[in-house]
Amino acid sequence: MATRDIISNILSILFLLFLQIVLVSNFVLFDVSFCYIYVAAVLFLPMDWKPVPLMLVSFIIGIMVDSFFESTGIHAGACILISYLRPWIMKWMTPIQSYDNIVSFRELTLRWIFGFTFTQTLIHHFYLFWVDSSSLSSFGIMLIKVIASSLFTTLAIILYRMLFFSPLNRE
Amino acid sequence: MQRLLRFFQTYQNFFIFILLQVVCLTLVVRSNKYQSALFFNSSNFVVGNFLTWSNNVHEYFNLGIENEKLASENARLRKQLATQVALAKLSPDTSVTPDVINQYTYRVAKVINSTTNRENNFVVINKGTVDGIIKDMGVISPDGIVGRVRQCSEHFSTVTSVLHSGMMISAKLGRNDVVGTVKWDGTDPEKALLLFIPRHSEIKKGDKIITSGYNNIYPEGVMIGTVSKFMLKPDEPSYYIEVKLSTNFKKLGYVYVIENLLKPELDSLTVKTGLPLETEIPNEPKKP
Repeated sequence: MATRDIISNILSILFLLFLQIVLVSNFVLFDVSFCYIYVAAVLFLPMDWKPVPLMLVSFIIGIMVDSFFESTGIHAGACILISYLRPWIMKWMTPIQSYDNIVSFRELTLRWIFGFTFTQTLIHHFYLFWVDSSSLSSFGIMLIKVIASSLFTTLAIILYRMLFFSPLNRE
Repeated sequence: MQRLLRFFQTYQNFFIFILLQVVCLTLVVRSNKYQSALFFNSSNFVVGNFLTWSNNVHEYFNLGIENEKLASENARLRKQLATQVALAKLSPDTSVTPDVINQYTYRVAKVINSTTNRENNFVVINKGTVDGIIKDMGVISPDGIVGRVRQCSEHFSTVTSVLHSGMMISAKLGRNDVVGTVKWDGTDPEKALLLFIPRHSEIKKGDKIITSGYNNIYPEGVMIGTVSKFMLKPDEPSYYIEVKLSTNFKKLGYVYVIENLLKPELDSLTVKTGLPLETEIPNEPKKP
């Protein structure tokens, strides 16, 4: 990987963390829908990475978010889970033309990005809210929170992708 | 041996995944269980300073509200002071020693972070051990109760807020001094429950709920909230009461940290008598 790629990756991760901590954590809809836009940083780590470095980097991202949210370990755990599952999810969502010539997420369609993001966000949020709720008594509320927040986060991530990473046109 | 190695190699990803998960879950359990010095939290120096900076930006947007709050509090305190001075002139009470009158001291601190959307919520303030803050001090805002200091670093402290699943506050009804316990049920950050109010007591919607002063953390009479709804189920020994909390945890500005100067004396007496010391927040309820 070229140095330029590494730097741009690190910068985009830092930017997302900054956005999450300073701005987006204040967005709450109807007390049930939260936005965790930083998940994009974990989701769109370079496509060619092996699972082990993927998990280590997402652990670091998670623990950084945890430090600011007073929730030691919860976000980190959720991030590790989604990066562990990423290869399977990607295999399951293989686009029609397969991944043969595709080396980065920029080359995939917005529709694919949407499906991928929503699936992963759902898993992430389920882990997050489930570990956070100390009892199963409020399971219904938790489920509402998971689904509402997943929609919100997915929307935010799609907007973020559209703003900064417009998909390359492949004909 | 070689087969074992090959086995590990094949499932390398899985093992590393499990290992990292165990690390994370250990951190979660530890941070819930006891007040050990955790590194990854807001009283950490870097995180604290970043939050201060971020809060300075946010603050500009709330200046108006904050000013109004402080002004109204000023007015209230002024009125209170006037009556106190008048009372003191009328009947100098010699039975109370100055120690007891000055039992509580207040320190002002600024809130730099406050969570409301989790099951266990915290508030971070910008005062720490350097400013004389120690664990277990009470924290209140101009509007009402906030929580209790959980952990301090040199310049920052984390506070367990009322919106924490393990937090219980000894409270009483303002109208008739019936004592109960206020506890958050984990759903709405503006609502809590008042437990153990016996069914023979009189209660009305809008009744004030204040601290009882039975624990040695908050003084008596700190506002907690008002009764928003109450019910009496036929087979229950006590009321079901919903409380509208007077503190808005989403818009905390400045808070007061309360030090009880007589706490060491009281604690040592409690220990001498053989009673259990009032412990910190109890451990998380176990999953069923």
